[in-house]
Amino acid sequence: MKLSIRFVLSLMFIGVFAAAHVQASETDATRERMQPWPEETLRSAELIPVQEGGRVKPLGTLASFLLLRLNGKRSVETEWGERLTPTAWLLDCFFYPDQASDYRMVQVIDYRVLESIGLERRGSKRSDRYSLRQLQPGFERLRELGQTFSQRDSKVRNALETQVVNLSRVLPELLLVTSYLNFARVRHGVEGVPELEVLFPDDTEVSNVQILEKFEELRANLGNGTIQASPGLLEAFGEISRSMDYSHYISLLPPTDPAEEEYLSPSDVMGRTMQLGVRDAEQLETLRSFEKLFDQRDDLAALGAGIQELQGELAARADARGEFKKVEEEVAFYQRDWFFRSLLAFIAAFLASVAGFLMPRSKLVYGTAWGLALLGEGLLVAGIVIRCLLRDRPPVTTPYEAILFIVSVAVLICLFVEYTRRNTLALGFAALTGTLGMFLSLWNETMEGVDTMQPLVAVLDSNFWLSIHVTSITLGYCAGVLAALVAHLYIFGKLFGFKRGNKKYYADLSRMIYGVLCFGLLFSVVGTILGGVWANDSWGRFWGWDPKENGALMLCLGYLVIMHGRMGGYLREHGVAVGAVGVGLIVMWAFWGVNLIGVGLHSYGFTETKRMATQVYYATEGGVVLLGILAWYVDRMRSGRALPG
Amino acid sequence: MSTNKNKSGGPPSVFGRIMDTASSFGTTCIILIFLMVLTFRGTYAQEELGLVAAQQKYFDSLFWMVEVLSLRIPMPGAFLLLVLLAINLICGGILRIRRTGATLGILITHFGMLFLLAAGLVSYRYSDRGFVQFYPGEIEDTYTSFHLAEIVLSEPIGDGAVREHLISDDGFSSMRPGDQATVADAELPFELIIDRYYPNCRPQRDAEGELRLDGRPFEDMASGNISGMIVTLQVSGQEAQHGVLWTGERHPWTVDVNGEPWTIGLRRRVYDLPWAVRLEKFTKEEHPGVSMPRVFASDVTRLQGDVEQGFHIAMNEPMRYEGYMLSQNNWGPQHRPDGRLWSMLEVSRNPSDQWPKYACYVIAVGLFLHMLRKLRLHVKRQTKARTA
Repeated sequence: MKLSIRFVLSLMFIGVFAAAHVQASETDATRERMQPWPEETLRSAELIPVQEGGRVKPLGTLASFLLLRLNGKRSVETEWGERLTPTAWLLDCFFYPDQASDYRMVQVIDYRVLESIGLERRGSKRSDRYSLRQLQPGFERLRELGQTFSQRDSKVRNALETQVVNLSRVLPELLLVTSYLNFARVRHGVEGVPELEVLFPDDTEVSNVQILEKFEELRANLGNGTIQASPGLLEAFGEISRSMDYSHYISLLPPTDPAEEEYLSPSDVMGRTMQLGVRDAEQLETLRSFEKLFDQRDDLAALGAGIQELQGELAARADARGEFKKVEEEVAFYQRDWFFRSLLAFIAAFLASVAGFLMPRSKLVYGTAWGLALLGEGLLVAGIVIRCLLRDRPPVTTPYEAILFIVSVAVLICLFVEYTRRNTLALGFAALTGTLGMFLSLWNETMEGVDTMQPLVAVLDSNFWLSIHVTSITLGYCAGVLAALVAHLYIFGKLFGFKRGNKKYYADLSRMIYGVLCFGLLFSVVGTILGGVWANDSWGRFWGWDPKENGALMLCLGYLVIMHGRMGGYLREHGVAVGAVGVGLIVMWAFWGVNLIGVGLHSYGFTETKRMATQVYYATEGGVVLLGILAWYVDRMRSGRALPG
Repeated sequence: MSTNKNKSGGPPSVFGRIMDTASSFGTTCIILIFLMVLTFRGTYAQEELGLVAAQQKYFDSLFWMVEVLSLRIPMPGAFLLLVLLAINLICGGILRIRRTGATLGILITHFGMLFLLAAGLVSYRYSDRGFVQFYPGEIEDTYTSFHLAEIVLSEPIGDGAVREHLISDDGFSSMRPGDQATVADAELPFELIIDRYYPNCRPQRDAEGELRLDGRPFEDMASGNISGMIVTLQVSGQEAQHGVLWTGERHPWTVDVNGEPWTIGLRRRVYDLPWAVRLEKFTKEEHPGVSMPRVFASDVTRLQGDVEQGFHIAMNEPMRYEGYMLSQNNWGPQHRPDGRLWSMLEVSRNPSDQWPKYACYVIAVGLFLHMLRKLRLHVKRQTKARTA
């Protein structure tokens, strides 16, 4: 709902304000900020508390995800080679909007999107980055197309149309941040405006906030609306109203009333003053600070000092409400970059494991692989634990967190198996699972481009059920993925004759697959039933054949078919391996696939960006199942055994 | 799951063969695979049919039909498959399984599974669900079914009082176009013939001003469905009277039965609560700055004679009392979120309400025991292999 409101507003903004930027597009880009932002300024700015998506977070987090949505990565390269962090980029948008409008940082994945809005691509690349100013002539067309395509069912939209819709959603956000401080840059001449001359006899020009501070007097002087305002004053009011249209984007003013929960944007404060007659001196004083900051933009040191001072003030206000501690902790969490470091450790562990295969007798290599895998797991678990503490939530509340949790448990299982078997194989799997899983989590975060610590809807707001149901079912998914992964090695090994004749090697792999499947069965069955018990408390029924419930049921059935097929002698080593790949397919269907059906009560976590990836996965893994059957056939032929029947 | 052998060494008896088949792993696998296919098909069918219709077709049924080259082939529905699974579990997983320490965990798990299936059967057969919708200060002592309907025949008994005859939808809810159903009872001085039943429709007047019903697909959200029917009233010695009924109609159809004014109406089935509930307060909160629900809660008082007992009902925190469960379901009117709001509580009466939870404990213990045993054996084997 929120998204759609934002989207509609965004489309309106493209249309209404494209005209305002036409003039800017006709001027040459200039470099307004000649020195890099001081480190301490960036640190302070990052710590400014803002409220977005229902929670208080650091400005740095907001900048980071906004940049991810626009640029597909968390940095911006300027024409002169400066590499900007998200916060540095956002400060440029605020204080040097002309310069920021020239940053080529809007990712256009397919040049045909540009053609569809009447623009030409730069060079011959299919995917490239463009500046706000370069895209500006196509705004109107983009708005129209975005509106048209977004009304179509997302399932029938083609990739190009989806990209147009996505661009029409993110571009207005860039427009809004580059115009966010418009309210602070505008000055009104006093001379010739009689109402202002009376109120500001000593000034030649006044700011928006100065006018708002004396708004009650101004209104009284105008007989509370009975006297016609002068054209100059009407123009000033128009200017204030226009700047309000941009400055609603970020709510960074903690409310002065402790009973209020919603942070205010500059637009809110101006609106309350003008429309409701509520004059909040403290908030207006803060807006005045923004105006002073804007006046200091030619002196970066002074501007930096001003930003630090403003951050101190806002932080103190948030702290008084008990909302700043988490902001500091979140900044520290993102600065430590636990998950990226974990990925690096897993990559190194994987390389060491490969070396271990080549040098099976080297204890040093084996020990190094162990150490690196443990380091990767340690960093991952530490990151997950800190996230839990930050959110006061169990580890699995969003699909992104589920990936992290699945990876950490899968690696842990592999390490346990390695500890008991000591054959390097499971260690290699630990490193490989960690590497692939952490890549997947990064990909997921980039594709979604939204805050991964969003608050939960009422029905999910139960730490008890999240802890026991979601955690168990995720463990069940995790085991399915891991078993499928090991099964790949079995199938491809057989197909390509790797370690041909080494029965123990394949028996080991098969036992590993079976053990992991047993683990998965326990958690899937318990997790699925617990989900029903939770549904009974939430929705008044244990089982409703909802797609998500059916996904979990399918996984349990998949596990049970393999278990009983193996016990009944219908599936042997090879059959279990092929079945495990099938279980991997079911996990994907249960985890993401059912969300794409578009029906049911579990409508959270729906995502279009994953549709294509899911389909590719189905096709690939379906192919692996077929290859598995082929490998079985080849194996039978090689060993000279007759085929059944 | 061993094979049955005749004690005299001859071929197994018919009973033995049946037991062999019923208890075999092969049967288990076939049932489970059928269940998988059915679950998959039924899930995607929801996109096309909606949740309720797909559930009825695939999951509440004994059979469903699949068309192959204009041939209608019956396929087992979930109800049948689950019954077969229960039989397979009893025969193979409990009666025939070797009962040793090694299979203790599996045995416990199978008992848990059976208990779970029993819970499902009891719920399917004996539970009902509905809702109460009220504003703060209002009292309700009945609840209305989400999907089920009933015909209300009101017989005048003098002094403006009426006696209600209720006809449940068991006899007409599955009617197909072209089918007819007749309501006849010794207590009724007439026959009511249902010419057509619409699970969801919209009443419309045609160009001649005649009322007709436009059929629509059944919707999952109960509030979106209006059930309707075209009926003929046949009183002996009188001319047939034709009428149109639909749920939500303000004034029931009044008919002349031997000079007495009977009324006939169609409504969602209404159940009595053994006590009344008064809504004291409804709370709706959203996360700051976004329209994302944070809290929905109703403070209610249970009223029974002189007894007044307060309950707080919120998402994930239902009220349970005497086999009834009241949970927070909805609120409204949604277009006026800041005005006076009503709260909708879902009411479910389910004798097996808590059984799945207990089954889950049993299954978890069984699987955990079995896993632990297997793990111990595995570690022992590995240690032995390393030290050898």
